[in-house]
Amino acid sequence: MIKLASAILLVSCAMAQDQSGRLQFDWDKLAAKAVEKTNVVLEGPMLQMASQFLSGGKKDEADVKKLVEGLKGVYVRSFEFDKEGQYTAADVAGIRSQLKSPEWSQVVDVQERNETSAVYLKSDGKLFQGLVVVSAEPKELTVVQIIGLLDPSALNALGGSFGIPSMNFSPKSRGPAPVKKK
Amino acid sequence: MSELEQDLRNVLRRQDPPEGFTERVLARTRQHSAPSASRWIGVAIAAGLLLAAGNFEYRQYEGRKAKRELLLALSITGNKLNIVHQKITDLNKRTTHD
Repeated sequence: MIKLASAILLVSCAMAQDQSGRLQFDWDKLAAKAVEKTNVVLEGPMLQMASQFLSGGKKDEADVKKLVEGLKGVYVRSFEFDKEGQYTAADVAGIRSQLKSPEWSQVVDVQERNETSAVYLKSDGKLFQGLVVVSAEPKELTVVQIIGLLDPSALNALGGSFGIPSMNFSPKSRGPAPVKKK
Repeated sequence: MSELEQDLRNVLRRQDPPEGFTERVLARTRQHSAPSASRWIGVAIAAGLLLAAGNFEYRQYEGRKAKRELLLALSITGNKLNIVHQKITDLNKRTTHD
């Protein structure tokens, strides 16, 4: 009976996590091997609080404030390793396999010898509902996930700020032109 | 009885308190206990203000921290998007040259 209750509880937790839309992965496994790690988890009230502290007077912060309005969560996991081979291709595949079509569109997929970069967008045709960037370098793995309504105009306005390139994000074109290099 | 003794007797003779003396003493006693209650109210107000100030400071700290994290997240996102953008630009240039 206890086992059954535990199993139901576990399944409920798993379902709850899936419903939030967050990528699931054993991040602790990577964190244990990393020499530097960044973990940003901003959601709900904390995200709104961050927005309140952004200055409306500074253009770049005002643009971020506008962008954050519709967001539900911002998650960044970045790991730097002192040597190569600390994560496997299967690890990256495990993350990317959660971003399936038609819900997610892979708008960029650049694969080089030891590096892969991919950008995924979730769109309802008018607005973006999510953005994921997966960047895998020999000694670094970074996964960025932004959940919530992303106003393309607000995203475009941020081009040039915070290192964000000036790109024309548009849900109709489903983001920048897909490019695949192998 | 000497004159001195007579004077002392006059001064120290038993005398009833004036009318309303007891009530006045009791009223004065009550007045003395009143500042004690107001002192507690003062302490409570001071503690409340201190808590409010602490809460405000804590929210300020949390807000600034959240803002820093948000800008860090955007900076990392921007950096990675920039790398991707650069790779695409390089690839397009190479494709054009080829």
